[in-house]
Parts: sequence; C-alpha cells; structure tokens
Amino acid sequence: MTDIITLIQSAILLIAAFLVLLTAYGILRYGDNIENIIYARIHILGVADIALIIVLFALNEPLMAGAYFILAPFAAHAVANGYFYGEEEK
Amino acid sequence: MFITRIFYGIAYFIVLIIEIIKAELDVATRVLNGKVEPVVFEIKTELKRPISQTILANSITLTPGTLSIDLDSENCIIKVATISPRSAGEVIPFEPYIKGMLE
Repeated sequence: MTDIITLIQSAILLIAAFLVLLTAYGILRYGDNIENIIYARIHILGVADIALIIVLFALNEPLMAGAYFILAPFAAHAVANGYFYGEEEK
Repeated sequence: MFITRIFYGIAYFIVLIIEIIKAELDVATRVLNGKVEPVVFEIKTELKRPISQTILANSITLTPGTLSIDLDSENCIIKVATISPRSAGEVIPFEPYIKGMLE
C-alpha cells in the first residue's frame, strides 16, 4: 500500500519538476521586442505557482498549500498593477 | 437559501480546479511553441458586492494565462491582461457560481 502512495508522489514530483523547468525556459526565451512581454512572463510564472501547490499537496502539507493558493495571486497582482501604473506615468 | 449557497461554493471550486488545469496545459504548450501575444482589456462584471468582486479577481489571477491588473469596484470593471486575445466569457467562466454563492 505504501509503495503505491510513494509511486504516485514520485510521479507528481516528476511532473512538477518538468513544469518548473518549462517555466525557467519560458521566462528566458522571449526578448524585449514583443509588446507587453512582462505580462507574459507573469503568466508563465503562474505555471510554477500551480506546480508548487500540487507538490505541497503531494508532500502532505495541505495547510501550506492552502495558504499558497490564497496568497500567490496577491504577489502577481501587485507586480502587474505596479508595472501598469508605472508605465502610465512615463 | 443557505444550502444552495453551499452547493454553488462546491461547484465553484470544482470549476476553478478544472479551469486551472486546462489553463496550465495551455500556457505550457504556449511556452513550447512560442505563440505569445499579451493584450490588456477591460471586462464588465455583474457582481456588486466588493467581496465577490475580490474573489473573482483572485480567481482570474490564480488561473495561468489571465491576470487581473485593476479593479474598479463602483463601476464593476476589472482590467485583465491575457496571454492571447480571447473573449470576456472565456476569462470568467466561474462568474455565475460566485454570483450564486455570495450575491
């Protein structure tokens, strides 16, 4: 029984590790020539957020996953809001 | 009815998780094939209470590929950035569930 749980945990960890690698690649691949590219970078960082929430559930830490689930959008929203109004003043 | 609100809350969480998984796979494929075109636009919401508007904006940001920038609470307008051009109904598929849960 414990073998099956360990296998499922390992599979989830591997998928999440692949998603985090994909996030790193996505942030670094685009240059600054596309308009509004910083929003695309924040969207791609959202993939890593969801991957880490899944990992925290798989590692049996549901309270920490819940806190991350509620607090992760605040940071993304703050960065986007600051960039939007900072660009307007320029 | 109180029971109806609990039912809408459970349905909201199920829809939110399904949308998150769909959007996650969508953004992951966009990273690989490079079809990225960020746009900023405004959507109008039917929700009137500030708490339901906040929950809607938080759900939008939690879904990868959509991001809420600003919330005008009096005029019920949310400013949204998406990774590719899409209609307002695709950005907020969970609005009727929040309306049933909190309005």
